[in-house]
Amino acid sequence: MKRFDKITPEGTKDTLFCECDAKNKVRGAMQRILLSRGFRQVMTPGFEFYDVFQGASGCFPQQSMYKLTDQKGRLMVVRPDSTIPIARLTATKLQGERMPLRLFYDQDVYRMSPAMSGRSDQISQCGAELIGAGGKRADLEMLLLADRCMAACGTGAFTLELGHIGLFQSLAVSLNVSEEQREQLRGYMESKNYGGLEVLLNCLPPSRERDALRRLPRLFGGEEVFQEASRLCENPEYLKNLTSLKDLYASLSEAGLKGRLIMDFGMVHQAEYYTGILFRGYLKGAGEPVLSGGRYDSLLKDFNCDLPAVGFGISIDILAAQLLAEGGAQTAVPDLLIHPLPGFELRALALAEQETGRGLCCENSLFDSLKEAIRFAGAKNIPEVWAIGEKIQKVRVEK
Amino acid sequence: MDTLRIALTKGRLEKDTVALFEAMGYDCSSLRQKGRKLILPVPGTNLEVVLAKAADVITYVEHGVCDLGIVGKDTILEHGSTLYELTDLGFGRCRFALAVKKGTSFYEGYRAKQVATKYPNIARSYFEGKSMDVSVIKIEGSVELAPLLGLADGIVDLVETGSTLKENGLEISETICEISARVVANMASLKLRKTEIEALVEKMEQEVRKTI
Repeated sequence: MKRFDKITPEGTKDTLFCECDAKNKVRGAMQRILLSRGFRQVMTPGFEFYDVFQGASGCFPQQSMYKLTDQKGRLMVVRPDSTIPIARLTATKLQGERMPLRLFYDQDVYRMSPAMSGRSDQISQCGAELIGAGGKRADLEMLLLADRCMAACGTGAFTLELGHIGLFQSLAVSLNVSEEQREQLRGYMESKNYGGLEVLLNCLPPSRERDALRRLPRLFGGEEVFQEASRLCENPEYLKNLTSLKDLYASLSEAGLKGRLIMDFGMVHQAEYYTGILFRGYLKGAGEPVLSGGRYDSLLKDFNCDLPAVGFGISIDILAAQLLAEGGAQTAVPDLLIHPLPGFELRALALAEQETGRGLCCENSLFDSLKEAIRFAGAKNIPEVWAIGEKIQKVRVEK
Repeated sequence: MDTLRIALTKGRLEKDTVALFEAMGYDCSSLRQKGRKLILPVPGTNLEVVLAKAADVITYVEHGVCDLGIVGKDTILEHGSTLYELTDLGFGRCRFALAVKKGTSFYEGYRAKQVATKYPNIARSYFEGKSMDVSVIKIEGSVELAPLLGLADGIVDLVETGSTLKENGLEISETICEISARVVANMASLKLRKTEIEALVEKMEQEVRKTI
């Protein structure tokens, strides 16, 4: 007996009419911007070998990947991420290309989220990668691009947040702790668990770096955080990262982002993946970041291709939902219903072709009588029915 | 100003939190006489209190429909993943422990062990950390029954005073971790409403420090 033939699996859903319109609008706006800045689109396979996602830098947690096997019994996964496959693609197909490369993607990723959490397992993402260029100018370009992409989606106020993984790492390295302890430290930092961090740091020998780590996760917000951050300690690596961040902040402010730019020096997510700046974008009313990105200079090394890179991904789903909630998406309603009288079917279709060429949206009537066609148009909010015979009779439809 | 929504864990933590809010000078009369209402504004502030079961506090905060939550560390360990855990309020203290029938040893012998618990994730990750294969049995009610009836070799449970264990002939074999009430925050809310949230948390911390 078929039991599951009328439902979709948990974490998936059908997308109808104006939901599609919202997604298309967001995608269209994003693609226009990316194409206009010289980014070229790539598409990667829907499923790939498991090994692709098991690199030292680009390692995806195995419990959140959907797995299948190929005909030889080799393990494959349904694409859980787009940047790692793009790194693979760059290291293989694009090796001979002139650097830097500007690539973008607009495709779905699939991640197994905890059961009954209300999260979607199929996520539409659009993102850009700038590969083969390090340094401030590349970072600046991508941050401004992220800002433009967020603004173009027409969903009102948003905030960009900036951090640097090197702040935490330079301090943590100097502590001389085991890898396990450092990961624990990073975990507390990531969840802003000030209490847990305090207990852990108190067990370590005192140093300026240790005390700096205590303060680091609390240093988020506006420009004022730079001041305290610069007084935290004299670790040269830390200060170097802080200075480069300050420099970037100044340029972004000058570019007009000041009002929507915040800092978080305690940003330490995906520490084995990111190597430099980190950034996120927030929308009012969305409980999770809508944009996430940063510099990942070691990912391409996983594929024996040592190139610096910086990129970001944006959740099309969150932006589309917001656009929909704001009434920015519509279900298209035809401008007219073209109803052929018996014997005029071909003429009606030819006329529809002609009218669509003029920009109208025409639906073809398959009803036997004009009366039925008018009733259908009324139910579908189609404002006009044209009856096609020897002459054309135009009927306004009452609501 | 926009409403700041804070989810409270119903029951004992709710009582402690209401007492804390009152000490902070908030008018909690609506919380004291709440009837069956689940969303309660705090008069004279932009705060709105939502009453929920512990695990649901985490869910509402993670999804961002509540900005803040007050919930036990036990629930965070069992259900939490992506939220900020800002402060330890110090009340609602107890601990997670492995308990066994008095006079027995959990680790004796080579036989694979069975553990009964209401907190399968915590139990599983605890024994994973010890590289031990343990079969975890989820029990909904009084877990103390499982070893007494011979279903399990031990239990992983919250222990406050230990008197329930004692009355049923069980004893603590080892403590897993200490538990108390925590303030959690949604990731986007903390960033977008930093000043407001930090001021409120700071005020709570000050009040908590007074009582210690």
